[in-house]
Amino acid sequence: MTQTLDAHGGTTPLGRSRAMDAPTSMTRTETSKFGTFAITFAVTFAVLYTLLEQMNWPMFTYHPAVNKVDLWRQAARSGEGPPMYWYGWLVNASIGALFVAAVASFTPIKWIQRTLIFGSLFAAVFFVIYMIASYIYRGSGGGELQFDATGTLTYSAGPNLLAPSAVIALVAAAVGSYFVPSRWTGKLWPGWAYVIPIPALAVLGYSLLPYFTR
Amino acid sequence: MDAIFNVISVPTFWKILLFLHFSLAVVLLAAVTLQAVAVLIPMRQAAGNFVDHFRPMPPVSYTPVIVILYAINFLLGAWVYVKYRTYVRIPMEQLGHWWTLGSFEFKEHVASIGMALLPAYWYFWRQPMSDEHTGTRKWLTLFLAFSVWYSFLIGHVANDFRGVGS
Repeated sequence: MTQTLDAHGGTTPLGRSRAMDAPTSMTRTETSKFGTFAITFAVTFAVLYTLLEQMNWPMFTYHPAVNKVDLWRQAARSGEGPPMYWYGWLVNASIGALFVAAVASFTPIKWIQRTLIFGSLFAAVFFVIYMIASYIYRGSGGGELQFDATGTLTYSAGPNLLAPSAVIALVAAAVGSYFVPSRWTGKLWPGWAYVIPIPALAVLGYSLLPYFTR
Repeated sequence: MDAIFNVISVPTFWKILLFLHFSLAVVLLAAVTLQAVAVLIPMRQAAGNFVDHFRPMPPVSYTPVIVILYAINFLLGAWVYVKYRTYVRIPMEQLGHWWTLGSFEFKEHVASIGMALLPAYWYFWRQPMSDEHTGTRKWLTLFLAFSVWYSFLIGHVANDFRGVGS
């Protein structure tokens, strides 16, 4: 009797413990996958939206005055009112971000974290190197990214500063991201969701300067 | 749409839509501001029985309201934007209101990026909340609060130029 009770008492807590642990660990896996998706979506959307807006690459153009939609980018046509590109950028950026975030949620988290470090380092180093190179080569025939009167980003011919800046940034980002400890990449990871949109908004805001300097 | 326009005129329809957009924005503004204040100044245990009765809502309870209202209002705004582009922006350009125009262009970007933050915002405010993500929750909330406040103020300025009651 005692043995039976002991045996029963011995197995029950073990069984209960397993039963309680199993769903918890499954929930954790699910939430972390959604977390990866959510963070990657926020980051990718901010980057893609900024690039698409700067390049003016909408999926479609809407002409509200005549209620007409054209694929890709179409300039204003006589008698059809102003074109709208915003919807086209939104759809393009959303599809791109959804795809990247879906892929990221099935990729090992450490890879995603390191990729973000690499991307951020690349962008930061590229920006600094490019600004310094533009300053040094200013007045020697252009070679600069500039905003024209309509606020569109254009590249004026001259010494090619983009390619060397990109190569230097690529090397610096590869070396930097290799040496960043995994502990740091893990700690920085959730913060990218609100950090990346800030420079994205800075670029978008900067491109609107012509409106404020007229 | 034609069925609606048989009952009300086209300008009235757009004014109702704009007013709805404004009304939802007011509720969203209240919710996101209360949550932002709650994360900036965490609740302390109030002393005394009488004061205890006036406990603020826990910040997490605003999250579903903010997510739903932000998404709905974003879609409403995207719809009203069609009218803005033809009926408001063109006279704005003709009269040289460049600051208003530029600020409104920036509103598009702020609202869009805010919209993309909603999944992450919702994820970090999900129960059970982890203490290690307190900072992330705070900054995501503040980012959304900035987005909502900026959109509200600039939208109001644009409405004053040509909108409901202007």
